[in-house]
Amino acid sequence: MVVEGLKKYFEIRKSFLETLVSRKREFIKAVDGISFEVGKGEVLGLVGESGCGKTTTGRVILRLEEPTEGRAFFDDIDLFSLNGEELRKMRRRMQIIFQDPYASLNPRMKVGEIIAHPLKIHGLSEGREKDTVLEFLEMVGLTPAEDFYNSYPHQLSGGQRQRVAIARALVLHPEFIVADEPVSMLDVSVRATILDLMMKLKEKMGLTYLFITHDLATAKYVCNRVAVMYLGKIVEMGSIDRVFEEPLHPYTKALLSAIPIPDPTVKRERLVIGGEVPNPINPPPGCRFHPRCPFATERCKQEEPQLVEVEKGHKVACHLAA
Amino acid sequence: MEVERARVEEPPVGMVGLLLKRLRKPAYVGEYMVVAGLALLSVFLFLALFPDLVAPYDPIAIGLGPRLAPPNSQFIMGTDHLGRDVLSRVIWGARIALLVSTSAAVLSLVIGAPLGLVSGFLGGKLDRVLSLVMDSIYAFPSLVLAIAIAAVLGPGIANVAIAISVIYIPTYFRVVRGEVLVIREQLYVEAARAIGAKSPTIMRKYVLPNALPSMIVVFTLNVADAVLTEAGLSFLGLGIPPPTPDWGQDLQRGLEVVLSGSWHPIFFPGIMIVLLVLAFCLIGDGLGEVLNPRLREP
Repeated sequence: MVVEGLKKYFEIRKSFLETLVSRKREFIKAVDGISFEVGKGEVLGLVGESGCGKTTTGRVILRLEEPTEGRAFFDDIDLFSLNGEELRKMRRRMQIIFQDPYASLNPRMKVGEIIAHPLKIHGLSEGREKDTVLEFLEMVGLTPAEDFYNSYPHQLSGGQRQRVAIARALVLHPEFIVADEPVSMLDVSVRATILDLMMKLKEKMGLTYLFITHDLATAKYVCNRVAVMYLGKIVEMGSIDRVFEEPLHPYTKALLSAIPIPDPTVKRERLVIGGEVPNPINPPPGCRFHPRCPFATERCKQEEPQLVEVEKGHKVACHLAA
Repeated sequence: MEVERARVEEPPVGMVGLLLKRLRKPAYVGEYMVVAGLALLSVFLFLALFPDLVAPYDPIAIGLGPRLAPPNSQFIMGTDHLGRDVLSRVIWGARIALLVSTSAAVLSLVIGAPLGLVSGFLGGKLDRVLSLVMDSIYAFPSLVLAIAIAAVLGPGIANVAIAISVIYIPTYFRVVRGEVLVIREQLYVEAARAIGAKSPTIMRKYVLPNALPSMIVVFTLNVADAVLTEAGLSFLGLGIPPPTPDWGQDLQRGLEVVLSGSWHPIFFPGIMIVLLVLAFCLIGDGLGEVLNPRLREP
């Protein structure tokens, strides 16, 4: 999966009166020119605060949202040029696991139908749909599968629902999965089991994940590489070990210092950043992080830093680090 | 891996099963309303299906007894101005009332609901045009519209049903469209797109079933309204032509004699209309509460 210069702007709807006063159209720059790659079999974490554009990125790649600009290739197929029928065929190979398992399952379908529906749509395993569904129910740990097959979503817990959602996504044998904060709505007690399940299935089915999360601890647990997003831009990207051991961007440093360490004897420098994420309609000029950055210089206010490689596979967009 | 079990105390059931289970042991006002309404309705259904078993006389036979005889042991509800048995006419009248009102409501459901579904789901120009048309029908006084249509079509069971159905199509359209506007933004609809479902499939399997509860409620309330409209049209002579036993028609004949002191030819058909409307209103309002817990009164 290769993404180049992806942009997604949402136009702000104005009232009739406002359109009379000014013709200027305003946009929320949710994703503002990001590029990254996810290698086959890799787990790339996309981390950042809420509103930084990470969920939008995942949705645009799957064409659940139309991109404003940029290109994305999967297996050398230009995803943004696919038309209706080609796109539907492509959906077999790319799936999504949503954040909210309470909203992502149709309340009027039984679990069995929910998982069988993708098979029916794509005409797979005709006549043996039930066997396939039962097999996947077992695979995601919903046993006895026969009981769950006839349940409705409202009869299941959040963790069980998310397992159903995972089974629905995987039943088509996709290659690429966008996991949009798959555990953030779940109880802490079941998070680890769901993550373990996703990793087990990744090995078993040879999956590639784009793992969206705001939780760095989760990212460290599952990802090979991580891309840190801030206000629609990637500020740092690299292997999970390098980024966690030696973060280069002040924003990454601040995020990392916010992770609690379960050892009171460990002393470390805390980097606390003040203020709020600025308005994505008019992002600050220069480096978008400069109003909150403790190290900001005059240059940061004027010149936007580019994402440059400082060591092999480790990129950062900061004048001070580069 | 830890084994999670489905909760067994709640057997897997669909919406209808769940509803029936709840109604067997009514727990709050809405459920009692549904049970009471269903009980009342089943009486009317029995009358409509087997009038010949219940009615003592032929409802259209003239001169069975004296003209305008008050209720007595031979004619429990008395006789009308032609000496026909009021009780038998009232019983046979249930058939017409139910037939016309339900077929009118079904017809408007069959036309209005799909239009609302498609219009709300697809949006755009189609939605604008359809909404405009429906709103203009809705803005028109409904009885006046029904009278106009019935006058053009002429009397007769089918024509009355069509005239009534036209005025309820916008109701279904608006209710379904409103529901669809909410449902199409739900995450499970997006999930359906993500697995590659086409729009017609999404509408059929994801949107429609979730809009169904409110459709059922509107349907029941519409039948109640249609009973009144049918009686109104017949009262005005635009409905079911005589001598077919019909409550609205009997009301009108009763009105002519009520001033000369005969109360019974107008009273009994009137009571029947009230009770049938009450039955459907109880079911509709009760179901509204049962199917939509947010409406339950504290």
